[in-house]
Amino acid sequence: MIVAALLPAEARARLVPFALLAVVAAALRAASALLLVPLLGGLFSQSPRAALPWLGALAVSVAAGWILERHLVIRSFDLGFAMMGSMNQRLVDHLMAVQIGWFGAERQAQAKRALAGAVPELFASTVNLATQASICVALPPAIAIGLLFVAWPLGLVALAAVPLLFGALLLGGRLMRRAEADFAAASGEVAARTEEFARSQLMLRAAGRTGTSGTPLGDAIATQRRSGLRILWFALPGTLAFSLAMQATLLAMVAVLALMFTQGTDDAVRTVALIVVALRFLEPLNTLSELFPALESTRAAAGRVLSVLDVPTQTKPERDARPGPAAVAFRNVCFAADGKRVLENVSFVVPAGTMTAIVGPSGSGKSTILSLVARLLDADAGEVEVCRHDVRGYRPDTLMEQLAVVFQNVQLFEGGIAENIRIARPQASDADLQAAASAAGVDEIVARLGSWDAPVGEGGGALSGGERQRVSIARALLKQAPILLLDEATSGLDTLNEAAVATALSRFSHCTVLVVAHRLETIAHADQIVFVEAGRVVESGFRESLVAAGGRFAAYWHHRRDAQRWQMQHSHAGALRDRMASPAGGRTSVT
Amino acid sequence: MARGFQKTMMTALGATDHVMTVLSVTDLTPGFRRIRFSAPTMIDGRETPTASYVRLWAPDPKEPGKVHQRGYTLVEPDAATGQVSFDFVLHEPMGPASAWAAAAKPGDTITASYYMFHKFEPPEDPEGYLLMGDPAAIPAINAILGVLPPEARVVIILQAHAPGDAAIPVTTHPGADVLWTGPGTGALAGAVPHRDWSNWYAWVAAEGAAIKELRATLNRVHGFPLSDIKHAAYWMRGKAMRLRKEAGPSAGETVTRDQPTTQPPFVPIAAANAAAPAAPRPRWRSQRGVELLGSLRWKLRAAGALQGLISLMQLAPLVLMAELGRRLLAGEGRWEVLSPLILWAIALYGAAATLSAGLMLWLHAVDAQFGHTLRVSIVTKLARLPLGWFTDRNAATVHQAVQEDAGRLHYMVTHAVPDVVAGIVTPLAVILYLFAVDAALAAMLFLPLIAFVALYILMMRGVADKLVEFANWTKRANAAASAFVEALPVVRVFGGDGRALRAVLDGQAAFLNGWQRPMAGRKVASQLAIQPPTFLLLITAAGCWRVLSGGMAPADLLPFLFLGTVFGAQIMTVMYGFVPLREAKQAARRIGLLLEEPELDRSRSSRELPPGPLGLRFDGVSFGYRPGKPVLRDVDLVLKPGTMTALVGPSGAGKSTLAGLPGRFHDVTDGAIRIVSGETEIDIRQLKPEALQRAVGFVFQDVRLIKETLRENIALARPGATMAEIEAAARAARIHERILAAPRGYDSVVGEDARLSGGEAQRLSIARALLADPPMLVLDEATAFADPESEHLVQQALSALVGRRTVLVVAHRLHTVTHADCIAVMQAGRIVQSGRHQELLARPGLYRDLWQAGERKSA
Ligand SMILES: Cc1cc2nc3c(=O)[nH]c(=O)nc-3n(C[C@H](O)[C@H](O)[C@H](O)COP(=O)(O)OP(=O)(O)OC[C@H]3O[C@@H](n4cnc5c(N)ncnc54)[C@H](O)[C@@H]3O)c2cc1C
Repeated sequence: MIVAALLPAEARARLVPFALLAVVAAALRAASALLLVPLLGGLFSQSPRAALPWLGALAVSVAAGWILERHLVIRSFDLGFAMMGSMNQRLVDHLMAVQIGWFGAERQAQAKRALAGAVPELFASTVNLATQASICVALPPAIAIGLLFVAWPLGLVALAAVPLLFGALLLGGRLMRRAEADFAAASGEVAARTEEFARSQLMLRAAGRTGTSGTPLGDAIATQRRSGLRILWFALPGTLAFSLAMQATLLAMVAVLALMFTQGTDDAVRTVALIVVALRFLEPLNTLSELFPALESTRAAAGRVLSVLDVPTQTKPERDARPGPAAVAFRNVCFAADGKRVLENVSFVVPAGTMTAIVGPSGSGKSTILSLVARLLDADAGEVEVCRHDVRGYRPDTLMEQLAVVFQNVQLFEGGIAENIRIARPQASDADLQAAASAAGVDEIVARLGSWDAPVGEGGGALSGGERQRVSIARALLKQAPILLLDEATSGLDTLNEAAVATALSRFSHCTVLVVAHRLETIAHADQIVFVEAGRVVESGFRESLVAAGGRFAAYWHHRRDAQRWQMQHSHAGALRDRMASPAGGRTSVT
Repeated sequence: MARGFQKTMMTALGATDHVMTVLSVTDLTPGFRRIRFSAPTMIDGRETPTASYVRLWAPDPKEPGKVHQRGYTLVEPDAATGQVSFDFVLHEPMGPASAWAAAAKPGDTITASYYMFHKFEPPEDPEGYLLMGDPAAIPAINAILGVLPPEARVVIILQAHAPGDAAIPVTTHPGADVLWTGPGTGALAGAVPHRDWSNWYAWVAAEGAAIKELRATLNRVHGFPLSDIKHAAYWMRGKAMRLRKEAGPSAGETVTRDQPTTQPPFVPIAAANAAAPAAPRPRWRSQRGVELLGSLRWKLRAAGALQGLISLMQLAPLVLMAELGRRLLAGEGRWEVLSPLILWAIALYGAAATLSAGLMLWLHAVDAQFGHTLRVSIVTKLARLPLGWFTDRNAATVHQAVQEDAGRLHYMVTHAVPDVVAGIVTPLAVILYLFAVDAALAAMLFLPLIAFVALYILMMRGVADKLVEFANWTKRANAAASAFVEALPVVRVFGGDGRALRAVLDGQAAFLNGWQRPMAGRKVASQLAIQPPTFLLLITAAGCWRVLSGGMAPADLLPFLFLGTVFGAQIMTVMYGFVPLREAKQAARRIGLLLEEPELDRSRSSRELPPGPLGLRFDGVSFGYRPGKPVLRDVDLVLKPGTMTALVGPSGAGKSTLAGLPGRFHDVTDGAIRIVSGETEIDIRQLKPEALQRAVGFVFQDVRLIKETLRENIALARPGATMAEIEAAARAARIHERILAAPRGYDSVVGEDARLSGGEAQRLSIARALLADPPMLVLDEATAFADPESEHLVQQALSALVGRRTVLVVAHRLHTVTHADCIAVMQAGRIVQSGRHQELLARPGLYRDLWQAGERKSA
């Protein structure tokens, strides 16, 4: 099933012939093994020449096997390529439709691994392993069935042994896998703890906690050691199961042969020849057990790819909605991520042509609100409306045409600066582009880097946080959409950056603006304040009236104003303050 | 010999031919000529590894049509124009290559084969680089100098064969000393200065005999481990480089990393030895990995021996069965004759299985012990390193050691060794046994192997180029996938179809298709050659022939049928088995390097803190991360008890480095930092580590919380603190209410049910510092807030923390520290101004400039 799921529909049809041919190839190998019985019979008889026709037959079947297996490998190339090509496209298509909120750091890594690592690995396994592995699976039953016709008691034993052998192989593999997984988990835990230990050295040393006894690190190391030993109790039966099954089978087969020989059913020559066949019967299982790790890692690679394809995608409407006036509205919107409430019953309206500032403590869900508007995330309940329609009623392009966004997480892609700006409006003239760029203070970055095509690095890594935001702003300016969504950066706030934000806001002053605001200037200019705390809108309205009301926003506003004027100094407020400062009654209060 | 054969060999090894056209000829010195070529097929945008070289096909001056191959190093390859130069030593007597160069003029052409294997790969971060060679090696040395980091220490020793040679231009490097020595085989070896070369890396190339002697001298006299000497013989005195010698890519310049046993005899250099001082034995960190594995060595050897025995025991039953067959055929079918064989076979099988299980158990036990020791020693090591060591870069080192390398060693101990031994012993034993049975037939078994090897070589033809290309595609695909995934939000917002990624992935697929598919036929053939049916057919066919011709008793065929068919398959196991072994060795080396990092010197750290209010004195402090590259120069600064001192200045001035020194993040290279209490002054290096940690507290912007409860995070420095004390600290740091809001209050676990914002984490760390209550406090970037929303709370918490302590604050916003008792202005590692805000503002100088710039900004 996994195999079929990996293949594109058109290639799936080719799987059946492939499997059939593999069975035929196995049958040919089985035939070569069984031909040994008459061949050796002839060779060991009084007239050894009797063996020659059988030798001829053996040569024919081996040669036929060669041809067939060669053909199979070439077919496996076709399958591999079909798989690789379609899988790449499917992964890219799928990732483009997955909700952006899905991509945490870990999932990003997962997606990258699936794209760049797993698919080539699957290709390599298809090409290198598929033929061998399928023949090895089909060969033991084929020989067993063949034996039924040559020496049926032996055939019966072999047939009975097939499930036993495969069972033992799988069981052993599973036990080993579990043990290794346990071990890897324990090692990972120690490693993570050790890294934490390294990162926290300053603090841990100040605390005198640098030993391993009684610390989480010490516990992790001890656990790891224990699991290193526990691995044995899984691994041991794992390997033993398989080798015991192999030996039991061989023993049973030899016993049957001995019985047949003593009862005179078989003569010495046939007995010997049948022992050889019995060995041939077990051989592919040895090969399989050697291929097992490779097959395992292929399975894991397939799992990685399929798990990405299993991530649900965002819905697309059948019919596209027609945007109305540029307003934004939230009605009882709830959103949760990883089981944690982020927004609860959020409602507010941004009338067309006005500016609303979302304000609140960090972690209160402000940026999530913007992401919901741009449909980087989908609400769990309630409605997010843009231009009078639920965002889910638009085709993605139509929705995005209404929005210019400057987000923290929608940053740059690898490429030149100009390229990064132009993506907002590919048909824009160079003059427009230049104008937008210089309004956002990007020309200063260009001067520093020396060229409009200077690469910005992966994720814009060559630029500072503030510079990245300026490029983003230039993009928004170039786009000229009716609604601006702006998430002010909190880090790297420099003068140029503030100027760029101010420019953006003034350029969009006739448009509808929804801004997550940190700067007091921005807050001061807003037509409406929405104060968010712990995922709820606690206050909203005009700034003056909110300040006058003396609620949460008023406190926030005053604190922020004070903070700007703060200076660091020794406390002169007297004993009370000092006692608070050093609860243990430290020496600093003794003056 | 015909060029044909060599070319086949070389092509098989991955070189491709290119025609190069002379563009210009410049004599850098009378005997050293630079020729610029146009070589668009060779310099086609692919990476050209540092100091990689070509084999030129130089025409024979006497016999037209005959060519000789000679190695030359790429100089200034330019992918944009497809041009490259080569520097030719015009030596006397001349050979084909130098003669060609001496006569070359623009428009001439010459063919060259290019390998990209050859790479300059020094170990991570050696103490310095010793580069030695004669004029032929100067192009390579120049290329290497071009890629060494500017702060690296380099010693270059060059040999002039002729007086004019010393004028050959050598790339300048800020950390390099260049020494010239004269002609003679022993000259280079004799020119190596006596000094402590610990942890240096040597790259040497010159005339063959000179190199031999040099390598021996570096090893025996100067202590260089052979693995840290990269050596190459570039030519042989008195001998034209013979064709035969250069059939392979590395025949001319053997790059050996072998054990000391294969040493050339050492030729002592009397003069140099006499001068050798009785210095302590130099040490190379790179050897630590070997030592690390040393503890395992006998165990692994024993395991290998046992595995060898087990492999033999696993074969024995087959031998017994063959014997059983032989007796059956001979008509000795009686049970008394057969039963001992069968019983023995069963017993051996059982014993082998038991032993093998036992071996596995034992190896896992060994591994558990080794892994445990390893982890404990890493942790112990980490606790002893200077705090300044823990940078981002070194975080990656720790990650590599504990996540990846530890796993590799685990795999090596538990799997790789037995696998490799079994893979070698089994086929070897089989073939020996079969030879004993019937040599002629046994010899036939090599036929499929030979066919396999031949087909394999055929298949590998040109594969080196392809492998490089494949690696490039993999790199590109990885980069494109990263870029795509990271840009997904942009794509979503601005539209996009992942075209770039699709193009790369399709390109990769097409490349694989174009490369692998034509090989498919040969690949199958090579595999089929060693599959059991092939051996079966071979054995029966040859067996029939031997039996029919009377050369062999029919019964002798049985051992072959029993044992001979699996023979081939094991070849592959061995081939793959060595990879993890090599990886493990490298892993051990990396871990060894970590365990060799220099520790903080605590030999004198025995004193306790003096009583009374504490201050701090920086006394002529200089410090540099690397010798000769000071970051701080001669800093004098006094922090009086109970005062606040601010460090300001442009970024890169050394403020943070200076602020870390009181905590012994690093030890000063010159001068001293002293704790001052009244009349007593104690060098911080003499304080007990715990005492120092208690005396100086640090608060950074970058806050570290550990995955424990909030309570434990606060009480970290004082595990004995009562709940009341913890709460008081949390209240003063304005974090108490936030903690109560977490699901389990003070018992919430960081990262699980307590997710703190930047400002909150900062307040928590301030609470921690309050509880620890150090008399002195260093605040670095503590005012550069990541979290404007809770800025005022952090400020209040900081005010509480500062209290009346002795404070050193690194300030980025000048106006926050205008109340400081002293403001020290730093520039380029020195304190250039100091005083109070008003005083500094009154005089022209850096402070006033910075202040005015700040004013303009906020205006
Ligand atoms: C990897 C590699 C890279 C190299 N890069 C360069 C390079 O960039 N520039 C360069 O000039 N050489 C370089 N060499 C050295 C060059 O390949 C040899 O010097 C080569 O032998 C010269 O060939 P020939 O035909 O001129 O002389 P040959 O036919 O080899 O020798 C003729 C005579 O000249 C002597 N002789 C050979 N080479 C020298 C020499 N360098 N100095 C003095 N006498 C010599 C021989 O002993 C012999 O007596 C490199 C060698 C290698 C292996």
